[in-house]
Amino acid sequence: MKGHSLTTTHFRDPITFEVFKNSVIGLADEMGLVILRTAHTPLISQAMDFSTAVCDPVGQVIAQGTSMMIHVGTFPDAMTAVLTKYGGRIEPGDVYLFNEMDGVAQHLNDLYVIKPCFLAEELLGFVVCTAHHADVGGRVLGSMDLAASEIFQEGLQIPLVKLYDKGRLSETVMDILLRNVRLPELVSGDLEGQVAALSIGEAGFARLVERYSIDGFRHLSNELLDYTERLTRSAIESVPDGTYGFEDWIDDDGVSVDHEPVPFRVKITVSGSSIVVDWDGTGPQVESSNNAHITNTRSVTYGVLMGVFRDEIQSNSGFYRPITIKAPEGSIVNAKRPAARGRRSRACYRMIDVLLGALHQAVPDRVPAGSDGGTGTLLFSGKEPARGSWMELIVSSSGWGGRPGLDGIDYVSSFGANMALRPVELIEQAGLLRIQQLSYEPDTGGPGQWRGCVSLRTEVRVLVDNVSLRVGGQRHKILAYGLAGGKRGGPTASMLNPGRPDERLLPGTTTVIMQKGDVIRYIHSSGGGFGDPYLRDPTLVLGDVLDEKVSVDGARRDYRVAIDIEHRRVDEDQTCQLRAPSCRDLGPITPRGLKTERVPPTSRIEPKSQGGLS
Amino acid sequence: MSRNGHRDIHVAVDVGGTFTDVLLFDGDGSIQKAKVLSSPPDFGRAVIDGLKIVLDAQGLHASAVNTLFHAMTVATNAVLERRGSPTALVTTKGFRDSLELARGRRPTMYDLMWDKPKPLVSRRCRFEIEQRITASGELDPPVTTASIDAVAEQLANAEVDAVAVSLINSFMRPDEELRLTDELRKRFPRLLFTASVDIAPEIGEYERTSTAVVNAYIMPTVDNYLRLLEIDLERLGIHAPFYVMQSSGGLSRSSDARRQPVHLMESGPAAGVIATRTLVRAAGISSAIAFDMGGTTAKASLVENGEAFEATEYEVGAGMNAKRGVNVGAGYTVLTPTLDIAEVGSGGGSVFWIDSGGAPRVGPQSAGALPGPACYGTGGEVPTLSDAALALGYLNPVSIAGSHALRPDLAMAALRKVADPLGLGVRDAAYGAYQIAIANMTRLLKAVTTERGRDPRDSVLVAFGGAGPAYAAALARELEIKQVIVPLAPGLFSALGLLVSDPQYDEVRVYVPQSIEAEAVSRSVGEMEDLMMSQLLTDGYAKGQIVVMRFADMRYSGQQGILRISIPPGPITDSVLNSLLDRLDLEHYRTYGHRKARTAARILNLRVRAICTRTGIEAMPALAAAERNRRPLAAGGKGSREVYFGPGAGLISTRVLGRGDLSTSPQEGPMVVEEMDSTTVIPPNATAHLDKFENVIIMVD
Repeated sequence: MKGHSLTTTHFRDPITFEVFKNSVIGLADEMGLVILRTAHTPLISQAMDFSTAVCDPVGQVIAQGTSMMIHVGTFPDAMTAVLTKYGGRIEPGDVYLFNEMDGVAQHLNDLYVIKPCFLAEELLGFVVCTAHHADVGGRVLGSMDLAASEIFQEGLQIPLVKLYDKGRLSETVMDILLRNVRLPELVSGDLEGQVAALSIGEAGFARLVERYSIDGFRHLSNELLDYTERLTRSAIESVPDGTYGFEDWIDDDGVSVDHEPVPFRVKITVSGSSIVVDWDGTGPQVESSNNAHITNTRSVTYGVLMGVFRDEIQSNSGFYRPITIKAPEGSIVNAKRPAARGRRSRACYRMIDVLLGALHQAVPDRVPAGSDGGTGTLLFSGKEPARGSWMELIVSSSGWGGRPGLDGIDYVSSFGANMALRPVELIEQAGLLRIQQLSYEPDTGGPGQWRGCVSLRTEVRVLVDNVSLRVGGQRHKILAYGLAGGKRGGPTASMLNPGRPDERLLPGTTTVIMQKGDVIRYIHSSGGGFGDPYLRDPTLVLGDVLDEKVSVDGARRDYRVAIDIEHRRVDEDQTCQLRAPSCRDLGPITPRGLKTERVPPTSRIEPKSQGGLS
Repeated sequence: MSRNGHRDIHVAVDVGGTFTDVLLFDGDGSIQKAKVLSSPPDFGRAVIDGLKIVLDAQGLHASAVNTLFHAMTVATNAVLERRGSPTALVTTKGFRDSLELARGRRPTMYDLMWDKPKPLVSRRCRFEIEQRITASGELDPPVTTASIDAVAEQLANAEVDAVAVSLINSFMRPDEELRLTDELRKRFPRLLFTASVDIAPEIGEYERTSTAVVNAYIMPTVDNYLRLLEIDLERLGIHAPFYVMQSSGGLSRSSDARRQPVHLMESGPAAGVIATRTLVRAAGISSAIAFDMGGTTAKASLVENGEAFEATEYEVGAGMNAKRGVNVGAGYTVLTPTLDIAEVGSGGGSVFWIDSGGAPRVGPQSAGALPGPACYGTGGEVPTLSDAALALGYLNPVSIAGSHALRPDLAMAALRKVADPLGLGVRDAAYGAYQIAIANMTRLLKAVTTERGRDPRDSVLVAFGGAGPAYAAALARELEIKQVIVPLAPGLFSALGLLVSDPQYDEVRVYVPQSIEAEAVSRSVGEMEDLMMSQLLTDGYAKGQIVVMRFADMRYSGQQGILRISIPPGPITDSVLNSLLDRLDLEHYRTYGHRKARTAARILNLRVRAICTRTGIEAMPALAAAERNRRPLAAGGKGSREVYFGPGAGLISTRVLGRGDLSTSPQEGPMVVEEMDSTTVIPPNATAHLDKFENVIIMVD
């Protein structure tokens, strides 16, 4: 630990600093809570697909509210865009809006709204937010068409414009926006919520400045950024110097199963208190909407580093300073126009896994094995005489890989998201679908001393005819990697009408037509294991067997543990024989913080299919 | 109220983690108070000890007690410490994992080592039964004897004490789930069963199942505790009706509480809110924030127009966080009527420390009762808020009325550990800790006001708990709140809340139709009302004392938040429903700051609440009268001491008074008002006086 000397030199007044820090972060959170409370779209309220921040007059982020990972660090670029276009003519009462700029963008659903804050004539800074809107036009409802090949198919592109000009709402902008979206009430409601949040932020900003004075506020903001930079650098210093590389793939381009896997390669160089993350070698952008804007790539990189630092580091411009991110232009992680980006999350999830795989080599005690690879989707749609066109989306996940000292969590939203599982009873209310099963699939978790999460099995029966089902899964071919000797997770597998004469396996990404009574079984990929499975504490294996997350056969095969199921105990003699000669006793019972062997700087995992549907 | 010529004797017992507070209220206008150390794990022992003290002091035999009121932490602790009983779950085929899947959300965004709370029923004890209730309420297939046989066989081998039964879509067909539960109960008469529709007949399989499971899990523990306590009370000679405070702020008879202990999760905190509600109703205050600060946490709740707010979502065991709605997934969801109480880890024992970036912080970790703040002299070495308060002169180092004497030397030594690295003097550092705590609690108060669209400046701050009155004026100044009320016996204020609460019964039903129809709403509400009324009359309540309230949980289509709108008394007609839409519109505007088109409004649940009002206890004036008799104890010049009020005001020789030294005419601060159970700090530029109930009113400039 390279602890800092705790002296007064850091702060002019440490107490005032701490109170200020709480206040300004509180302000950013307060704006977020307004958006959360007023949200009309479940993605905003349940998945918290929004973000808020307070910025200084030159566009540095002073505080970002609790937000989704995919938005971390997105605002400095947004502020640069505003200052570049409007610098020198920013007026009180202005509100800026955009969803697509060359320098900064998420996908078109994310509308950025920005408001300058003034005290008398003086520009104090900005309050800013972005939120995922239900629909922004384009080919499909929800605007996130996986098959889109160009951004022009994805909906309305809004360059940086004034939504309000000196307090006057631009009817022109609103008219164009609402004419181009399928759910104008939701969009206008959520946009209102964003503007309301900024108004609350603006008032709070003014109160803070009145309290600390303009100079005082500036001084404290700078202290906050320096403080965060110091925390970040100290966290980076705790990571051994070196270059750590890793690669992983997505199965295909998300549209055609024949598309070759797309590589994601990263090289993380830690030197002293700075980090360079280079995505060189990553595959080219694809002809589907699985592309990421460089903004996403930055956000994901920042978010993963935050997870690994495990400190209460604030997301502000001080945090970004020691981190440099490079990505080749035209790659899937730095896609150029007119690449489609609606489903950029698929690229984001893979970036997360690749970053973690690389960081494992540097800090093996802080990183999980490969995750389920991100969400999968079952999109049902059809037309009913009584209700017209309908659509039901079921989102699937499994969870994370095994972790040093902890199993992967059996069912949790992806690290890059934090989405709520929709209640079965709510989905069924529409009378179109019946969920027959939603449960763990045994023997799927990647074996390891710390087991990867098990797969989630979803079985849905359709209750009407002529239902179109679009299956959007991943990790069919390229499975979650294990770490430190752990094994891979299981694949995604979908099957139509299991157990019936007409049962058939479906490819990873496909559309099928279902008739009343037809059933889709979807098993979501699982997480990789961490550590040698033969070192897993046999009592943990027994627990998994009793809980039917691992079968008796699976225990013997994957863990070399013999279970005497009749007496609900580990057969110690047999287990010792199975595990010999590597173990003299039943293996260590290891709490958190086990030692792992160092993996060579670049560990290459060959893409290959493994296992199948049981 | 007098009955058969006897005096009316009511006793309230509030069991907390550290102290058990007992308040005896005599119909003749006198009261007795006792504060004894709680006695975990056998909490009942301190209850009996405390009761003996107040009965002796009042010269009464136990049989004179008419009613007993109780708030307790046994239910909550059983979950927090995972000391409930082995429990099984019976659910629909295909869904035994709903409980463990939960909603898949996590409370922290970036913590790779976060772990989901372990389900209270492990997978091996979650059994599936072959049956299905469809979304429209058909049985396809129904529960059959064969399916019951199959699940019973599994239960027989499960070695559990309690069983929760929760079927998919059972809110559509409660009869089917109840029938199954009854059948199983017949076969396993020694097990304690909970049917999900008995407790939370709401939509959402995880939430309903989780509620039933929490109930089942703690039922043996709570049942045992209350049963033994009832025996002890009998033995002592108390044969009075025995009520327990629920999370809703209403009382429940102990027999009901034993069956549905999940309603007791916020028993203690709810009592404090109800005490505040009583105070502000008596004083005619339209908006008040209840601010309860003790040894480890501070809690806040809003009381508006005489009513407390209810939370629309609640997790037990989620830990403390003022940022509700964001940090979902940390605990176990419970769908019971629960007062909306925000909480932060900020109390007298909160630790003052320096983080790795060199910034000073306060809490959320606490020195607890052991080792305790350094100034207690019980082995604590890290500085806490109490040490800071002592160093600033807010607390008296000399023992007051039997409380612990404090050690300024130990407080100073501990504070120096933080002051030195910050380059501050001990006093400035102590004042810093105080300010940081105020900043933390500012966010707490905002959580129940601005985050709900309410301006804290429109509220009065009611401060209680052991530490609350020392921080209230500074907190009020920070939020520009003009008036602070420190009630009588601030340290026992929650116990007072018990004395003035009423038995309360809640029912809920899912409203299924997509559109709002008078006939359907009226039928559903009417059925619930009739059911409750007949039950209450059977239970011995008189019709005249039963007040019925009806609510609709509403929202606009596509929105997530729920607003609870009250349905006016009388027949439910189209025009009544129209008025509901007006109220929804208004409440939506207040809460969210904008209006929506009313066409898209939906009703999700209908609720009926029956309050069985009790007559007689005008606790506020009675308490005041009782205290007035005790005036000599509380008054008397205590001289003055040096108190630090920040760099502006500096170190001021400050008068130290008893509550009895204040009068109805305001006196200028600074002052410190010392009492047995709390210390009130009145800073410079603030005044203090007494209202007609002997509450200290602080007016903040």
